[in-house]
Amino acid sequence: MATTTILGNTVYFSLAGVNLSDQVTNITINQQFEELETTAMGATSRVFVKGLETAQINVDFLNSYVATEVNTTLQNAYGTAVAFIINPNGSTTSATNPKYTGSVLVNNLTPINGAVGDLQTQSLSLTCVTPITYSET
Amino acid sequence: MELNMQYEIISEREICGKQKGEILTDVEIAEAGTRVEALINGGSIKPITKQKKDEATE
Repeated sequence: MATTTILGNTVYFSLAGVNLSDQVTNITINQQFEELETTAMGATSRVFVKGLETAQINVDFLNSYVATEVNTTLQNAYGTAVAFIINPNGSTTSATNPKYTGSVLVNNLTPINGAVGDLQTQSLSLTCVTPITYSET
Repeated sequence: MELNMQYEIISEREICGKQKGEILTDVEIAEAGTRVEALINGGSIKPITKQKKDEATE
């Protein structure tokens, strides 16, 4: 059976309606449910059920202060919940390029971050305020 | 009939799935999960203002 692989440099990322893909150097979606233990007397192994979901989007940005780019987009969304869209391979959603969407609270910004000789960047962990939706269409 | 407010994309970036020069409505912006004010302040869109009919004919 053929194995499909995909390079990490084709991820599409839109935040607050703005396509910021070309200013992202690293991006990760973390999804998890709380595991609630229901093990009772007589059980022979621990038993868990699904609890509430938490999710984060971890994203590394190249900082840019030009209008419509990273800093203005983040500052204008700061303290609010805004939508995100992530596709692994460009923005055209399909069965082989699913779309992950939801809303994140824009918080914990580091708009100035860089030492002498370094590029200015910021690494954000954006907490989702909605469940992440998975779509193939 | 009440028309939706319209905005032109002035950013080189894709905004709410559309490109520079294309038109967005406030409904489309809301459906994309963002705010008109944020996009205007960020230099991504500008309102399209139309002359009122009575002003245009004076």
